[in-house]
Amino acid sequence: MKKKVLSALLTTTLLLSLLTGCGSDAGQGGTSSSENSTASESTEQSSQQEASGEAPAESSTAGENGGETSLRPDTLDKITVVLFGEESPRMQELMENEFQQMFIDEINTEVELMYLPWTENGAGGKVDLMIASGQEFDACIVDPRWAASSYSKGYLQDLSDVIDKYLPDWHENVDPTAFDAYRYDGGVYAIPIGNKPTGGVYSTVCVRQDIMDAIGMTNISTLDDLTEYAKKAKEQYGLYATYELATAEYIIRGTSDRNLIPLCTGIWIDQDTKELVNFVESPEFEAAVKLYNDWYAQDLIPKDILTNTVTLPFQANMTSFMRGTCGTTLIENEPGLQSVVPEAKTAEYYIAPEKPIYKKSYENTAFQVPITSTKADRVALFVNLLQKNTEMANLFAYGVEGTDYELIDGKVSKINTEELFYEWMIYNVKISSPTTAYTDEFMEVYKNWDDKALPALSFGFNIDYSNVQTEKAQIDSVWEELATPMLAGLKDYDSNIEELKAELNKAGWDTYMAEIQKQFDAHLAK
Amino acid sequence: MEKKKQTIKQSRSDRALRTFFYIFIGFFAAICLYPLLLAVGTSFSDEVSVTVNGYSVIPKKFSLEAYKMILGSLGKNIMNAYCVTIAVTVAGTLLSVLVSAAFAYMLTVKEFKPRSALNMFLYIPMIFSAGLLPWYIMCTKYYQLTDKFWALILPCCMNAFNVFLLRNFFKSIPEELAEAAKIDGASYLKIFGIIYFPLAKVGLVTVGLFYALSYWNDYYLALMFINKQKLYPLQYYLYNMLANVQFIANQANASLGYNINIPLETTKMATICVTIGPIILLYPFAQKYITKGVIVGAVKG
Repeated sequence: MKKKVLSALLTTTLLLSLLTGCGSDAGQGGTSSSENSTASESTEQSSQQEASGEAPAESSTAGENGGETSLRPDTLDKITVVLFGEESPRMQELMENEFQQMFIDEINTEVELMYLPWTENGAGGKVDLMIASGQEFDACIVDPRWAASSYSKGYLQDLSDVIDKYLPDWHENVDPTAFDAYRYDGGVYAIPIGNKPTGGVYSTVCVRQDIMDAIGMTNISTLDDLTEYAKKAKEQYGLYATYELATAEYIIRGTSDRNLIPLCTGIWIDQDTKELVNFVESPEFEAAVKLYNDWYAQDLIPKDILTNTVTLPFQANMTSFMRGTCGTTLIENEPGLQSVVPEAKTAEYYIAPEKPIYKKSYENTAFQVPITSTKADRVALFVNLLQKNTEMANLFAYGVEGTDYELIDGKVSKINTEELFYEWMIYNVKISSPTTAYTDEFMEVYKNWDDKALPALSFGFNIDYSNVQTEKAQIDSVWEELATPMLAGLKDYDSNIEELKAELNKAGWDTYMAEIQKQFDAHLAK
Repeated sequence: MEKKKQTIKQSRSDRALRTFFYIFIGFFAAICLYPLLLAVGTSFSDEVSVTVNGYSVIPKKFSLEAYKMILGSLGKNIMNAYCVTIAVTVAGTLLSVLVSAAFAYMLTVKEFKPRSALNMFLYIPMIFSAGLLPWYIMCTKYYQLTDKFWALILPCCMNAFNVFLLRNFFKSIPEELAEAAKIDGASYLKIFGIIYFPLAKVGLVTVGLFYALSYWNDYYLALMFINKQKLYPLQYYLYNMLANVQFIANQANASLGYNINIPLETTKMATICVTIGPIILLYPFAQKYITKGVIVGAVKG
């Protein structure tokens, strides 16, 4: 009898858990919020434990003059910083000697690095688990999307006080607008690091200049030009056009006079009217899909565009163009391409060059300080030191001059090729020395790349999907199933658009759009 | 003799079936083997030729770049990771088999009254889980396993499924043997060591192999608890490295500072070849036990 009751009980529990798994949106929302609250509770608990068990770290003796030497704390303390990837042998050596000595001399702080795999970089990874469980560490690199998620869970510490006090050199060398990506409800929740031009990123198309010369084309400024180039490249060189979808920004830029910037699945922002645009119902979507339909019919689009996961087809000499990254494709794509086609040259062009250029992001990388840490001041001093001046930026990115690199005409020639502190993170166009791979002409253009760029309306806007989780998941699913094949040119516009619209509506488009509109209005009001 | 002839007569119809089975199994084996050969072939290929032409069993352009990267400058770290993995696999397997066998034996001793309660204690976690966070807190805060060698063994030391499997093996051993030993004055420990342990060899080897495989392939425990590079097991080391290669490849298109060409597809394949090597050799030795073990488990289960 006991066994029967027990087995009935177990079966009921299993059934219940199954039903919960397949439950409605309300159920899912409930589960999620309860998980969040549990995590927050545990975080709060742990922070309370820390607060009660340990006094806050000795604050620095910030001088009345505000000078950098006076910011050095009197007592030696230790911070643990989480980075991703693998600590190279040379980095280990430097962290035990030169780097560590520099940290102690400059900010009286011992820095311990903890490395996690890159797969843990983002919400839901080990860092979140460490914060939720109260495990002690003081800083970790973060991007705006992850920071928004962590903020909503109550994992991050408000750094408003420390950024005014402990970042004197940072303020000299980094654009404070970069903080906007990490501002929530009046607080600042991460300290950005690095300073690189990002205006017009992905708005240019990177093409093969050697092919342009061979086919007698001098410029690409319209989608017709791009089509002509793609056709000739296919005829004469057998290259497909691209593996990128019709949502590529350089394609949409050429489809109308409007200035659209993508925001999230199915929604773009009109930068002039400040309106959210339902992309599927826009003329730009129609034009882009029809263009890709034509390209597909002319065999310019590879048949395996949606299934081939090849990472860099342009560099492998499989396609004739790809999206550009604000001038740096010349440096980043050419060496790879030239290993396959030695005579290859690349160039970037704006489709519709008369249209404005937008800066959609400043620095994507920042340091978060978990709520469990009591050493936010030391973290701020640490970040400040990495961006202090040319000497420091070069030291932490390239190593010791003479041993790890040599300076030739103001440019860095590396002796050691092992990774130290990430170059891409520390690189600051105001203070860092470029490597010898970058020509003077390139650096001149690169330094002033952002001069004409306008800030995009979406900058600093992070969407909180918690109220429309189910709608978002369903819309993403419909998008993947119905919109993506159209944007790849595989399905034609006229016979598929109505089904796509109907399915998006069924997935809860109106609720999704209304929620994002509400949040966007609030963002604009700020 | 007559019987034997009869068997041959019967086997005529079976022969066709057997031939069909052999062809089917051979075909199936080829299907299973093909991806492995593809991995080996690709690992010796040039990255560009793989990108342009796709994977191939015979490399279109031979290259050792991927192996140079894995074993070259990082060779010392790889060897260290190998040692950690071997130590974890050996120590973990021995400990797990011992603990699981002891627990399973205890479940078969009828005189031991709390065995039903312990049975449930083992059974419930198979269905319900407390979740990741409590487990993580338990291991890091209470057991202090962070950056300890035992962190790679203890959290997965006893697997409920394997214990039930062993319990079924032990149940198949006649109780009379234990009773006779008991009359002769043997203790439970002695009965377990002298009678049950040797007689359940098939089951122990099977379960041992399951444990060995899981310890060899595990990277999750290291991901959770290990920060010191000296304690990285092989799988975690390579998992970390592949994640980095993927990141650098993506990063190359996103910002200034990176223009390195790192073998990507070929590195992945070389990684597979490096990691499967030793454990794949275990199979031929343990195969006969596995077959028996699975059958016994099936009949008794």
